[in-house]
Amino acid sequence: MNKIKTTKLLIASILMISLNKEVAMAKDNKIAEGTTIGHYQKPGAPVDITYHSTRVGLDEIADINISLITTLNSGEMEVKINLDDNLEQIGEAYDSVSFTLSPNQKSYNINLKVKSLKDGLYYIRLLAKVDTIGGAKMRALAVPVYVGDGKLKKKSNQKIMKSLSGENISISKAEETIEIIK
Amino acid sequence: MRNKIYILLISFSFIIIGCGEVTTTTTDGRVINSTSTGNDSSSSNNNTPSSITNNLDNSNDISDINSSNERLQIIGKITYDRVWVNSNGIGLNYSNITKEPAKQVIVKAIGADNQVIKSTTTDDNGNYSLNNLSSNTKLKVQVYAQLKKSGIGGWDLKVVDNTNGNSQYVMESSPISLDDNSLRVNLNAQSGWDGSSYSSERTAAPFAILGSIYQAMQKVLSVDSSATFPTLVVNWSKNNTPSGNGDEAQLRDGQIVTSHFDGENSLYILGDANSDTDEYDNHIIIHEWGHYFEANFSRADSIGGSHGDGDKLDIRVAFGEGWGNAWSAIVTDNPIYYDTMGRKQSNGFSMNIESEFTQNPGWYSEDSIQKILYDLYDSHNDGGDTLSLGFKPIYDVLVGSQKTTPAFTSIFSFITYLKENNPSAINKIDDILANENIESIQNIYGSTIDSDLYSDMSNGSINICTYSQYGRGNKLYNHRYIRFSISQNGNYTVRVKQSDGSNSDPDFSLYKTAPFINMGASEESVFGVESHSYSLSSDDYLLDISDYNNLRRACFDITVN
Repeated sequence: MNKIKTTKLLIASILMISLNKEVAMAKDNKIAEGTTIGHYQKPGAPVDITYHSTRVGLDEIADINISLITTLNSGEMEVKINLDDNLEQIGEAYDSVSFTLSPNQKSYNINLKVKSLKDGLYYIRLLAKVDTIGGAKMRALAVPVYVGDGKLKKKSNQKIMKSLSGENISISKAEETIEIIK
Repeated sequence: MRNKIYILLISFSFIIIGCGEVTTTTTDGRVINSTSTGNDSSSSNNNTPSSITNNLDNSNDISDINSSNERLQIIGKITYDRVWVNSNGIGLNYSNITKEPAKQVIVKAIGADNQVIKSTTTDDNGNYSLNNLSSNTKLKVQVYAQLKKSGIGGWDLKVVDNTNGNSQYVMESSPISLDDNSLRVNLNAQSGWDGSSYSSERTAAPFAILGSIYQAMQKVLSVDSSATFPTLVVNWSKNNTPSGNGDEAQLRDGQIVTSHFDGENSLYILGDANSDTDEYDNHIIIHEWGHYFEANFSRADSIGGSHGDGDKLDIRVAFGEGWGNAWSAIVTDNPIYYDTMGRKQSNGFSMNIESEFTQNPGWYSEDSIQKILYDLYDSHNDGGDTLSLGFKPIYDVLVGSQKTTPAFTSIFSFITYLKENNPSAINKIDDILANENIESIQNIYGSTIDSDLYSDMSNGSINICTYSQYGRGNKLYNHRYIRFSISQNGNYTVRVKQSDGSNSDPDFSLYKTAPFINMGASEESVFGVESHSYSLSSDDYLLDISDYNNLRRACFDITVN
């Protein structure tokens, strides 16, 4: 029984690889993961993030597992969720989630499933807000989603040129007022 | 001769002519005024520019500009849009954008062949003057997001796009044909905000960052005119997001984790719209630059890591972060620290550096440290604070004894030296400490307050325990400090072996104390034991022991043989 299952899976995999390069890349199941734990953080809400996801092909669902870690023992943690325009959320779509913090729990989990029809590096943006004795504090966090080629699509129209000294320069237009001086 | 101004690549939408003044508005909103009276005798005495369409001042002396037909000049003012925070300290207020002078930035006249014809820098009003230009020259005016001044009291910093080949940000004018008359060319870097989103280039952002850093440098120079600032590269991009692990490939994609100083010569600043942009968050830029200052002018022993309200931190982290926050308030003379973020940059938080409630006040609290440092500086008496030292005594300690202290840099070392330098202020300093629940600090190790913080190794061995009851990593007591002396030069092995089990992962760093030198860390992923050999001279040393596994309690036999 197990042997038959394995054979069928192998045939299916070979067919998919030959049909679509992107799908083949998705089957690599390369893990995209990261954490802010141990890294410097600017002042703000005491919230760290750890995330795990797989690099996916076009139109393939990425399963994103996010853990938010805080040293706070009480109160609420409200998290707003904002997806890049090119990402589509699969299943129940929600744009915020709230957690009741407790002394027995340090990690609060969010699972999202997203897909995209376009190659690129996209982000799931989170904005965590907690109430501390010193007042409300926030921290912005982002989870990368690698689709297809997984490359950053530059959000810039600025001209890149080489200066005569060989440096790259990124030129943008100024708002200008020009007058003749008589 | 008829005066002309040729502006190439411009589509004119309409031209208004009246009373000897030509005002031209281009399709992209630029306004060109030419008060070209030519041979019009009716206005022959008018030797001043026409009215200017924005509120730029005319402080350049232009009286002798046109004394020679072959010697022309382009003068003007460089500004940038600064978007201010809302009055409640939460979110950017795009209804409150001012044009601020771009101080000390590099301005170049670039010829048609891309050769630099002339170069200069703006003054502190943003004014510049490109002199001795020839007539019949085609050029552009380019403004570099760069400050460079050589020699004592100088600086060298620029803003680049880490996601685009480290290209340096430059804004430029339209092509200009300089014929027979000098010109006033005022350039403004726009925010790119169209009322609902950033729909065009955010040209102002690099200049806003430079403005904040220049303000910080001026504060240093106000107490030490010989201060010279080492090279600094500021990496800002609209692609810079609060994600990633901070490795090099991710930095090139803009995954910078957070706005931060990299410990060497670079700042990374967030720029991701609708998530977190920091270019207009003045206190954040200055805070991060404060870490650069601490590393280059003083000494920064902080081990980094996340930190927040109420945390009981490793003393080095508490001081470093408290310093950064206090410094942002000292530079701006504004204790309201703000961080804007979220959709349309409309969210965020603010805190009062001087009066924010401190959950766990003490020598391990960054909130307490920031209050203490700011209270030492400011002239506002509140609570137990009746001292107004200003910045000079703080600076003197930071660049003096704090830089060479044989202890780790902390509030203990800082206050000890501050008292030494200012004996008449000791009681008032202690009053400020008492506000934060800190007893009088008597020495650089804080031994009269916490006798266990540093331990002395004798006869080459000691048993020490680490604790994680206040949190992991950079929280108090996860790292333990051990002093020891070497009497004879030679090769020595430092060995740290767990004495109450084998489930820890001990790590350590070794420091020589005079001069203070990091001898290197030993951070193998091995359970229960860690060892490393060093060639040591006859000196005093500090050992920093920690458990990577952050066990609630782990004890270690430490030997140096």
